[in-house]
Amino acid sequence: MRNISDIRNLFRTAGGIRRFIILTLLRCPFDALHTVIHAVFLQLAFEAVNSENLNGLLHVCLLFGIGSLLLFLYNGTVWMLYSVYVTKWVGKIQRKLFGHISRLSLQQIEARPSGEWITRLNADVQSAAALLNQPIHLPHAVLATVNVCVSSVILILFNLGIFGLCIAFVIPHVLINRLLIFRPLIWFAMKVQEAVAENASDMNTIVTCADTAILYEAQGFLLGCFEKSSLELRKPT
Amino acid sequence: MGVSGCGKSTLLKLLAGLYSARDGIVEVQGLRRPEDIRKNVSMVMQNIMLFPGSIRDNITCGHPMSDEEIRQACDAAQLSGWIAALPDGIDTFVGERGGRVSGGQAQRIAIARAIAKNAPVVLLDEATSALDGDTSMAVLSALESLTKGKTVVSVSHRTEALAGCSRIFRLEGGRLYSA
Repeated sequence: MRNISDIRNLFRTAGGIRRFIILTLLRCPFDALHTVIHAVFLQLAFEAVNSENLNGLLHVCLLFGIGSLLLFLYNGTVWMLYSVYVTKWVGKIQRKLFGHISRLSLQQIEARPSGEWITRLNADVQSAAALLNQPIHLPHAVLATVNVCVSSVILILFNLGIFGLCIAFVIPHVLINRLLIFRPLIWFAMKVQEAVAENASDMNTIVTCADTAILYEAQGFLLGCFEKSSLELRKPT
Repeated sequence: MGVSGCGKSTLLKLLAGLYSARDGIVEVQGLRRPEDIRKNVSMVMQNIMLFPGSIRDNITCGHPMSDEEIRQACDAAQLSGWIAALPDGIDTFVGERGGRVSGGQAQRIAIARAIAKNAPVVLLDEATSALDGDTSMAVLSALESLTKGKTVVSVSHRTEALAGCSRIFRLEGGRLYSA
């Protein structure tokens, strides 16, 4: 899974490489733009403070707010498109795996414990998804916290007024983040967990009821059930 | 018949076209390809595994089937009375691994599924070995409807379960002996 040829094979199986490249490229400018906006803001804000131009400082703050909002909207839109893409891509991989297992003979299915099939199904799909959807790592969080602390200390030592201004921006940002993003995210995670459980149960059926499914040619029906619960997985996005 | 672990269920799975024979030939109704054999065989097992769907789904297995065909299969499997008493009727969810229905009901749903398939050959794998007093009559009656006019191969470790069979074989050491 880790080498390039495996990744290429995975994309060959599931498709969507062009969309993946486009969305990855669209994600790229965020950090650069974010840094530029902050740098320009700081430069203009310091200039305004140095020249004691309160009107200019308000304009800079207003422009910074608009710039940040636009950047936030851009990033949110790209991330939303990316999440939908990843969910669909993972669903496609799962369906392909499910279809492959449903076409195996009973001897092949019974050769391994049902738990191993389910674990493989989930683990393989998760490792495939991890290629596209790496979560934020703990080192990232630590680094960000250290950066914030050091910046705050420098700003306090440099100018307490500017620090106060930053805090005036940061507090509403944190509150909005908690109310509008964090809470829906928990709800979303719970919904996803429920949908994943149902989906796993459908995956389980193809292994535990393999003899009945093969004898009564019910693989298509079970694949339909699996697709239905896969769609439930996509719904929250 | 044969003792537990002698290979009775494996033999039935070979006859059902679920397993491919390493040596020799499996021929059912003049057919040798497992996928052709499977179309002509229905099977009822001791440990019934139901799909996590409705009673209807478990009988039709997703194949197009008229309400009348389903009703006839339910009647023959002694299910109609029980289904009529359910709030959702035939569309009642049987639960994951059939957890919302009793063992006897699950077995009769499996029998209804086999009746609905209407295959000329019926394989019974210890189909009557786990019945309790309350449901055994209903299941036996359902099995009678399923096997009427069909070629039946029934497997059991108990001699009394094979009463009514025209020929009885004993499986021992991988070989069949006339019992």
